[in-house]
Amino acid sequence: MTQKTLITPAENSTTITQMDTSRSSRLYTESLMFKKDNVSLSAMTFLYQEMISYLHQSSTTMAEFEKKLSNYGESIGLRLLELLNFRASLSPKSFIDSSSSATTTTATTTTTSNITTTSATTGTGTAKIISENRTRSKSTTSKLANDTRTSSNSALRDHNTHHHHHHHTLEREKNLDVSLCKYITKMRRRDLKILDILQFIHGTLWSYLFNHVSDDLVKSSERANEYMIIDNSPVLTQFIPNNNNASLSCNYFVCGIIKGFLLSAGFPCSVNPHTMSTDEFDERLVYLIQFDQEVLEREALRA
Amino acid sequence: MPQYFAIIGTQDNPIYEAEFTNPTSKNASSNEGGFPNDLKELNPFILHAALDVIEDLQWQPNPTVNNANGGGGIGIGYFNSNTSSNSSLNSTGFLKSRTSLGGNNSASDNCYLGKVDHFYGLSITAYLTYNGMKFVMIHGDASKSNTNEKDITFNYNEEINSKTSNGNRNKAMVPLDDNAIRSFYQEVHELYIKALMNPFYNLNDPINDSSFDMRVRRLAKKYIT
Amino acid sequence: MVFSYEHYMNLLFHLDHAKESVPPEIAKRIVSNAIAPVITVTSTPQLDNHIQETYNIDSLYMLLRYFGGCVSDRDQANELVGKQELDVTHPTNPSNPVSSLIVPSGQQQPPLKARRGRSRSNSLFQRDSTQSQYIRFTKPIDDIVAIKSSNDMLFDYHSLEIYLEQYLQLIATNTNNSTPYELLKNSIYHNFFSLAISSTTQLSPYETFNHPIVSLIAVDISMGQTYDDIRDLLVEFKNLNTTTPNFPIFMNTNDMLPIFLLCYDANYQEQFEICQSLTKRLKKQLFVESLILPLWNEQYEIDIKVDLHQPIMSSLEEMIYFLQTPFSAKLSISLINSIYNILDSLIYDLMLPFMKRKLLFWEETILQPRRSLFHGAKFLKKFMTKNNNGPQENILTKDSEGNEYFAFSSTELLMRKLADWSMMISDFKTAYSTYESLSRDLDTFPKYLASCLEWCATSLLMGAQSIVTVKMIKNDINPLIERALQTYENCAITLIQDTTNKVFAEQSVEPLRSYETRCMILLSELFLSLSDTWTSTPYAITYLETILTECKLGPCSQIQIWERLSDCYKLRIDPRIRYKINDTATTTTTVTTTTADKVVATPSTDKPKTIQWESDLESKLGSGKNILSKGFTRRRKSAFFRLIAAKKWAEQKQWRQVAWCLKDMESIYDATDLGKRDDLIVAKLRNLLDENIGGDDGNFKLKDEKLSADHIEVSS
Repeated sequence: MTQKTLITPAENSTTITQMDTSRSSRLYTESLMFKKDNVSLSAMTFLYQEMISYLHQSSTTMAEFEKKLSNYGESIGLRLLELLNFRASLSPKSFIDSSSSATTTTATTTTTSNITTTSATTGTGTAKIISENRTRSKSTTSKLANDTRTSSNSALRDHNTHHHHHHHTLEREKNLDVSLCKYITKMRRRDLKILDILQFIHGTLWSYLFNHVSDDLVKSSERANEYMIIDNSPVLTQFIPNNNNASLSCNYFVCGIIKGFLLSAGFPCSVNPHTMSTDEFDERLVYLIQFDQEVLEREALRA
Repeated sequence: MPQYFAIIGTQDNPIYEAEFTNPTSKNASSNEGGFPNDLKELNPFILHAALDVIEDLQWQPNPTVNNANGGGGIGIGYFNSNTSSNSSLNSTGFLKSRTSLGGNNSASDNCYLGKVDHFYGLSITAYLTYNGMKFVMIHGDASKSNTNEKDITFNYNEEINSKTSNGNRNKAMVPLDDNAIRSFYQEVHELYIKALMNPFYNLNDPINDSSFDMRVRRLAKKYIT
Repeated sequence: MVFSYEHYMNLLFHLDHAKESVPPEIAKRIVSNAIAPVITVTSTPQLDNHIQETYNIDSLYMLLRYFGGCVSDRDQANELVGKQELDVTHPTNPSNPVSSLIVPSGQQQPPLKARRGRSRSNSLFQRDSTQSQYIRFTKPIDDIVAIKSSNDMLFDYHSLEIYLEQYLQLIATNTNNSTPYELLKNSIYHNFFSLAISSTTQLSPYETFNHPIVSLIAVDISMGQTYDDIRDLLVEFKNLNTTTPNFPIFMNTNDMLPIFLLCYDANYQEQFEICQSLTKRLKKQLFVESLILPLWNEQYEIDIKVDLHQPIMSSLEEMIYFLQTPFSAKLSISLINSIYNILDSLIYDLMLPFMKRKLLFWEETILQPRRSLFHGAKFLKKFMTKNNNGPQENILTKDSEGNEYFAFSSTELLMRKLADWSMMISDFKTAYSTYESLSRDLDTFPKYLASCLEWCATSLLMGAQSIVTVKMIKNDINPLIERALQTYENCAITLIQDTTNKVFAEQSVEPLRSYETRCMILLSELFLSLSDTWTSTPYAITYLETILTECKLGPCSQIQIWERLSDCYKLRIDPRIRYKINDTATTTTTVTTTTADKVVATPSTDKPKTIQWESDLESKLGSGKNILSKGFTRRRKSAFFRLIAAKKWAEQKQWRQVAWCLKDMESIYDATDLGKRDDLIVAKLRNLLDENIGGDDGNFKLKDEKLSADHIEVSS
């Protein structure tokens, strides 16, 4: 992989010197806009499977495995919360108006992604989410998500970055206004209620991840703190045979994404997957979200 | 007009701090445009104290400062105000409160909280990100920063002599440009999201990146004089 | 031993109780104590000399002042019982100058049961305030009148400051950094509070709380004083108005109850009989009541002696004096009990009925006519008085120094007396209605009006209605207070504007400010004693801030107010989540060390099933235990104000207080690392503290103790 970002993970932050602009990170110089991209399904599932087997080997119990897998998802969920809310704050109208000026610059071609590939040196990897071109895509407004920052498919970009990297970064830093804030009239409201944030997950988050809204959002009738999100055919685990408990555990990754999303928004909960096959959908999966009691109490107090 | 800006994490720890000074100050004194020294060492605590109110507003469906303060900011006299949710906080009207008078929640933006608190002449504004990071800023008053440093701190005698009515308790407020500050916060929000996109950056880690710092300062220069 | 009111107020000398919680409604008790009926004690020179010889106390007044406060508590007597229960080796600092421990020998003599059948119950835990009546003692009337200040100052903030400084010094010497200090700090504030709102010597023209109600005139039967002496004394008393120079025009001896105290030597039976016959004769011929007290007795010599402790409330000057020159009087336990019995009888048999009679009388003569149909219409009243050409009662009278006040006979002052006396006997309803009615009449007299409004609000907060609701606060109490403050301000402004001399203007404003200060301190503390702290603390905070911005106080006094502000914020908890606060620990944020790895490593011997794997995110965000209380407390603000107070204490070099303030803030600031950064103020204060106190837990040694080799000591 072509890597420009140097990062030694020791400090957990990008350490760049001012002078060393040739190796400076593009962390801040990229725009947060969408860029549709495609990654091969087999690569994705292969990576996913590798991740699972790595975790499987390093864990001693199922619970530990599930937790670790969930942890990976959580860090994604954390970032998605901010990113998707931010993008949702962009008013399309203002964007379209000024998009003509924006597209002339090269900077808008890339977006920062929530998940990046790892450098070869570190063992912990986070996988990319594939967006498949599904025919039953329901979302019309949201653009297809996905891009990586470092590995790009566009030959043009490669060409630019390899040969004119130094020159271009300086240019970018000077001329380009990658800030999207001018397209924002007001920020999207922070979700304070359970229902609001679940709607957001059901709609925007799912569309971002899987290119369609989730198949159902259900509130449990038995317990007040339980909600369910239903996925008729989970993408990531489609090649994992669904015959035992172990395979169910492989779904904890997406659970982690949801959980991270909710946790960072201030809704402590636990998310677990359950299978619920129907005639039509053999692999139907239910993500059961159980909110802590305090969340419900808070909602009552703050009504 | 010096400002002190900080990003505070979920465990009350500041993950980023910066002081913005006014470069166009004419005085050539060493502390040009900045906060006086005894305020410098107190600033993080002033922000920390404002966190209570911010937390209160964070979870209110209709964040108005009056609801949170209920009549007691730091250093303001509330004799002339009702504590009803629709009245504006500051009788001198520097900053609109965040009420939506029609009771329509969905229209208003609840990330930017506006002025949440104040402390004897310093105003404190706040902004919330979606994952609970708090951007807080103290706005000082440049006209006093180069004089006797006791002026900003806790000396009330001058207020006694010049007091003619209850409204004077508000007199030391600094006028705030709501829109500029909001834009500043939004831009910093975007920068924060970008910093968050770094997979090696964990929640609540301090942001030590000089590039981030440089950009924030650039933004401050642009929006907050 | 049961924690009592006296224990709390003098907590410094009862540090074994330092871990109790703050008594509920303590503010109300202090206020009751502060406005308690005043008894002036006059005694003949012979009596005083005799007392001086036997007990080494200067005068009867000095003897009786130890017995002020809540008489039914009998706290001077209880001290003995308590000491017998304590171990000889007392855990607190043995070198306590004011109340030293004695090892009693002989039998334990339990105090006699108090009247009213409440044997050992404590005024602190009484729900009904009418059950415990407070009293205050003061000097003879001519003394009070003689030292009356000409500018109507209520209290002198300068003396308050001196007292506070010395008290703090005493604390610093008698405690160390690890003494449990929460209750002690509250006690210090309440001491400060009680001094600021009361003083037994200042006679105010605008309110009658300090005007004596009973005049206790004592004669010494054992020295041969007779009926004639008594008669002369009575005549002298009745003529005080005219004979004393500068007797205030707003006071009158007619409204005071004279009671004679016949002191005799119990060893001689005939003296007792003389007393008894004198009592009857005085009642029949002079129509005056008397009490008899066996002040001397052989038995007292062999009896257990008790060290008397200073009364909780007496005038500021006296308290400063006794702080500087500690003096402890010893009396025998049976004498103490006798005195308490006499006082019981005085209060319940004589004073209260007198007050109630007077109240009834005033009510009938003044209030009833006002309630008539025509009273409300002012023009009608003027019309009627014009016709009558009667004396205009609502004009101020000039006294000998040219100040204008309402005379003692004026309706306004009598109504004020009515209201004040109702407050004294805890009849808050009447007090409130009287104050309200009076305030309508006093529109043109701002100084009187302000005081009236202030006490109107106070009567509401003390319990005129059975419950204080939020609505009541907003609609009734707060507007009253605001009006009062506004009136005080207007007075001040007009005063400043009228006089051209700025310095003189400032000086003349000061007395007014002292009323204002008293008003704010009083009301803010009463607000804090309400149960719904979420709504009441903002008001308390506002008023305390008013004090800081408007009123003149010495530096240590100001810091007390800062600390009280911090306490207000600490108390500000939404009642709906209060149960949560009590469950969880005091820290608001739970800090867990975040590791670079996302996996929390555990030793392999643990059973996997019992381990709860917390995700990294969860550990940072907290798992829901605290989220309910988020936003409903103000603890960070409380810590912040503590920090400011600590900084100011450091400026005043009160290192013990700095140490305690820093301890208070520890839990909040250590969690966030702000407390450790060197460039910030907390670290700086810690360094300052270390420099100035040094090791050994900050023990200050008294000046005359030499430095010992094994301690590190720093002189404060």
